[in-house]
Amino acid sequence: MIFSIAWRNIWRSPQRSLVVLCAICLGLFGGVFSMAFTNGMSLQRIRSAISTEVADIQIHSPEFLAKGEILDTIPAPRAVIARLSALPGVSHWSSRIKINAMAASATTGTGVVLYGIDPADERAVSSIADRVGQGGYLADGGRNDIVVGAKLAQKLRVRLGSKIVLTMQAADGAITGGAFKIAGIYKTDNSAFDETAVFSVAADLRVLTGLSKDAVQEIAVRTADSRAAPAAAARLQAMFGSLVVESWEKSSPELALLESIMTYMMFLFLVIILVALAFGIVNTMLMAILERTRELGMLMAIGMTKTRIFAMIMVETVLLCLTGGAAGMAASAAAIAYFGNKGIDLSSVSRGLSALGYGSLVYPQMDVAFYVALSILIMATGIASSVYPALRALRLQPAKAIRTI
Amino acid sequence: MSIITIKNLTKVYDETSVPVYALNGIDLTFEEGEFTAIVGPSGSGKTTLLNILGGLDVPSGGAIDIAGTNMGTLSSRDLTRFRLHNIGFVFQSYNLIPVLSAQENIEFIMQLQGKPRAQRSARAQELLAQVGIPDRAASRPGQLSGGQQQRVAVARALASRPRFVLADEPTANLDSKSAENLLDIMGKLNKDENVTFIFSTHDARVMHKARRIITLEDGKVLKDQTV
Repeated sequence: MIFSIAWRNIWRSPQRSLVVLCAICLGLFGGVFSMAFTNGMSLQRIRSAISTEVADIQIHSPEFLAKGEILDTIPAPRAVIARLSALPGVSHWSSRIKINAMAASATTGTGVVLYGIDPADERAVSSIADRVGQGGYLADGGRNDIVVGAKLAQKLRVRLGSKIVLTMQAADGAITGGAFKIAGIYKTDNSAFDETAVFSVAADLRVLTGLSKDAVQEIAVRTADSRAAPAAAARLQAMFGSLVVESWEKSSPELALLESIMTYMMFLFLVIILVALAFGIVNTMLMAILERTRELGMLMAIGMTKTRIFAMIMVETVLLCLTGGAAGMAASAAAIAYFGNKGIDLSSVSRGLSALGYGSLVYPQMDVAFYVALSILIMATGIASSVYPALRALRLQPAKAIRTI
Repeated sequence: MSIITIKNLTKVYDETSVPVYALNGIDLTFEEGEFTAIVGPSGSGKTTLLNILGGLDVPSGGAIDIAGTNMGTLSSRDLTRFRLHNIGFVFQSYNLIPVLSAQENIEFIMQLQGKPRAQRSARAQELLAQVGIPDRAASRPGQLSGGQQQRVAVARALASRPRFVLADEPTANLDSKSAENLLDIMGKLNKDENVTFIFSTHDARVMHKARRIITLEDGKVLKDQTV
């Protein structure tokens, strides 16, 4: 009956309860939706970076990571790939030549990172092929085709079909170079990446640099689930002790930092909202207790123990919180589901977002686990908010309380 | 057989520099089945006496023994349990739980005692019939008249099968007819069920219905007469 009384007590003053419920509902809706928005942005950033820039796992020789020289290749890459294919969870891989180069157009020049790839393998690992907006992706070698980012094309003042000259170090230490025709222009969410990464067919680069047939500086690996990449990377590291195997969290620490900052920010944001709500709830419950002084005195007089009175007030507060919380979570879940499917268009600020690596269409996203954690936090807020009003109630003297007007 | 024995009971309020004796050396004994009115002018000590008898207030001196239990030895928690199982209360302002129906109000105290649902329900219906409002079981206090609310309060007081019922000015908020009806119901329960009632009043219309009248003045027993 304590549960029943507590629930009915909430609706004793419907106007006041509705105000509190609306405050909880709107507070949580605003908090959860903005968290889902930010979470969606950062997850998109991470997904985009994995699919276009860093893959789930990268394998290098330790020397390449230290110096980045053209000759710091992965020893026996075929053997590495043969063992990769047997590893559960690993879905695709792509061997890459990765060298620093100078790109020059007729008017200007800039430094770039030149990737020599096998187009078929690369398509399975990277989404660059899908991001080519002008022209097409790389096909077979022998034509010195190149795919560049839109930002680089803009910087070099070149367009589709233009030729640029790439200058780099050859395998024998000499400087070499060649003219490449722009076959495609891609655009990712990250304009900084678009400005520096260029892709060519590995076979063409081997001819130009004199690298041996199997020589690669990087093997990019995709796993079935990016969240499982660190564990898969650890297994690979155990297999290839002389190489450096890094998951995306290690090879791109700013992404890992972004994810961990987001987790902390979300938690902090949530705590601030709940603390603010707790003050409102405490105030409401204190008013309710003040109004029910005589009734509480009567309950003590007829034999209701302090423990039960404490429990009744606690149940009432928790029910108030959970009701408002459930409404807030339902409203935010509905909004997140809607905008998570449709997206929120921020194209008016797309240039700024792109400079930071973010897409202009944001899909708010929130895990089910978050809602479970939020429910527990709301319940904890209710319990914490009930303590002070309940202690005030327990301090009442029944003989005096009964006579309160 | 006496169920309450009071010896040299005093209650002093010394919140100001001048101590005020609300009760000053009271000696009383109450027998099982009594129907007793405590009367006296305002400030005579009626409510203080009932509060101390009900364990809602502590005396400054003296001793109270209820059915072999020295009230002074009970802890706050034990006192609460003692009230739950031994004492019924009827308050001047009814003090029903507004969010519960009449039947739920009566059942509530039995639930605190841990009685099963079927037993609670049967007892509540029986009591509602005894106080003459069996058809108002589902009504909430706000839907009942003052007299009906006080009848529910009497039924609630009896629900726990207490050793005695304390009623502080039970008719103070009732019109003459309702007041007489309530006292008649209490009197009938006293006769038929041998329920011990001790009630305070300064209402001359109802005090003559008591079989024992204790008159207090300035915290002392002025007169103790059996009618």
